[in-house]
Amino acid sequence: MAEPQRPRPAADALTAPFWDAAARGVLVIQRCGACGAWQHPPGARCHRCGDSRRLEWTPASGEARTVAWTTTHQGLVAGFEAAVPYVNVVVELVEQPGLYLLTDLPGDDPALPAALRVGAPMRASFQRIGDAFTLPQFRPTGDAR
Amino acid sequence: MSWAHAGKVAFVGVGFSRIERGTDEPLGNFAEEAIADALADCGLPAAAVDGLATYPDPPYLGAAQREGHDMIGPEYVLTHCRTGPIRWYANLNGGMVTAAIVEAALALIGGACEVALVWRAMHHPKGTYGLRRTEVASGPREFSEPYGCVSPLQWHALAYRRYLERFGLARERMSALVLNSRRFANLNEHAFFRDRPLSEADYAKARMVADPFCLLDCDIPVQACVALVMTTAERARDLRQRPAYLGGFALNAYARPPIAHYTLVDYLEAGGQTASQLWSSAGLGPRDMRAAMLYDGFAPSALYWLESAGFCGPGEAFDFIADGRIAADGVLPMNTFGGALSQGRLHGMGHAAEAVLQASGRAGARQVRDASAIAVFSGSPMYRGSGLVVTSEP
Repeated sequence: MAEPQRPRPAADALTAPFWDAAARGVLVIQRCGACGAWQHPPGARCHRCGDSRRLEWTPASGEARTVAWTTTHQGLVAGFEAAVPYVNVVVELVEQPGLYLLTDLPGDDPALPAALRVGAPMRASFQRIGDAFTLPQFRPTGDAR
Repeated sequence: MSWAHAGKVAFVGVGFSRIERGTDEPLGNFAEEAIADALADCGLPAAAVDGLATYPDPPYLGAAQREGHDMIGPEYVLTHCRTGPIRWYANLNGGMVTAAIVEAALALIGGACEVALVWRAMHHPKGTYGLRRTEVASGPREFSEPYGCVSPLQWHALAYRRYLERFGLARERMSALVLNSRRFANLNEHAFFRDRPLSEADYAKARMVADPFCLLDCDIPVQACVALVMTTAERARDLRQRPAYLGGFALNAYARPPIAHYTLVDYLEAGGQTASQLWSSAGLGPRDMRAAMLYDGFAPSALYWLESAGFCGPGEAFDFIADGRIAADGVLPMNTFGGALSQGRLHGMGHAAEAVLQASGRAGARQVRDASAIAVFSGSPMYRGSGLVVTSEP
């Protein structure tokens, strides 16, 4: 399967810390210092308590569980046409219910069967995309690669 | 609290354009056809129109947005449709066309206008439809587009997978809804698939697009316009057609957690909130509905509405749609015009128009025996859904 031409994150003032940390191999998620809630994608305010001053980028464990998945069979985004079929998985970080991130796996990846089960344990890894950025990905725990 | 103005706003005209695919003809031509048809239906001249409302959003992220060619806002209509002096208009960006209908009703009740025209025009040009082209992802899409997860098709597929897993259901059972819609479309001259029957075998061999979605679980993009003429119940008495009435409404204002894609987590909660607002507004409940027009841009949305609105319990929608219960003589005739799946992708306007035709006894071969109260739910329950109750009596 061909590695897709991935859109590059804009990494603006709100989101750059996520991408900067990913480049160092660290998964950081916005967390509210007032109420303790984690949130992703990041926002200017805490979704739970509304606090805007104590949102802090906080390292997360990278441990997650599979919630849902879909296999894309047709080109829906320019750059991914040659990558079909590929699989997107929604994972939920262990830090908080509803704290979701995405990942993708090639449709022929041997790790797939282990990932595509509700509750399957997944762990963050980091994929360097050319010299553009580093993309957090999730793979089944125990996957040796 | 029950809406004090239930039954005081009437739908008096329904109009349809041609329904086509892959055309370079300007969308404005289709809008003008539908609007002229709706006005002819109720017998009012265009000059009587003094209010305009639409939900003009392009059909997908990145679609062309040339006014008059790809989308039709109030500016186009007041310039080209020979309306009277416009006293009120609304150009909505949420809640789908249901929100435009609600706004028009409130404008009529408030005296801001006397005759409101509401339309939804959708383009379907030649070429690739819906392909997202972007080199840089921004906003929440920074966290989905680099993974190739860009389309509502995929977001809904993720939610649908979760639904199927949560209740231990097989995706093949969706055929009952898809075939029911096609049978109704075959009775509807305004449906794209009016002449094309569909069999269980056709459904079984449909190609997968984003698992668990096959092609037939997705609505069919079309170029078309549907228009409604609304006025006060009082003024409706003198017009050509038997009116239908707005019995209640709801707009989803659920505080959704910020996520980069749809999930299922909140469909019962968000949809349930929208539905309870609707039932409260109308002073009626799901047992009072004699038919339901449930949004099916992606087929599972209709299942989620069945469950979140209380037509059946959580996880029971596949049982509910089976065995003819949603056919014309079933307990709840559903999407009797073919739905977006088989009429075409009109972002909820086909659903609203059919509720009006049914409630006013004008649905022809599709007419349900008792059309006294019809539920319309638009959008997906988990994201800015909306609802109407349309009644045959004020």
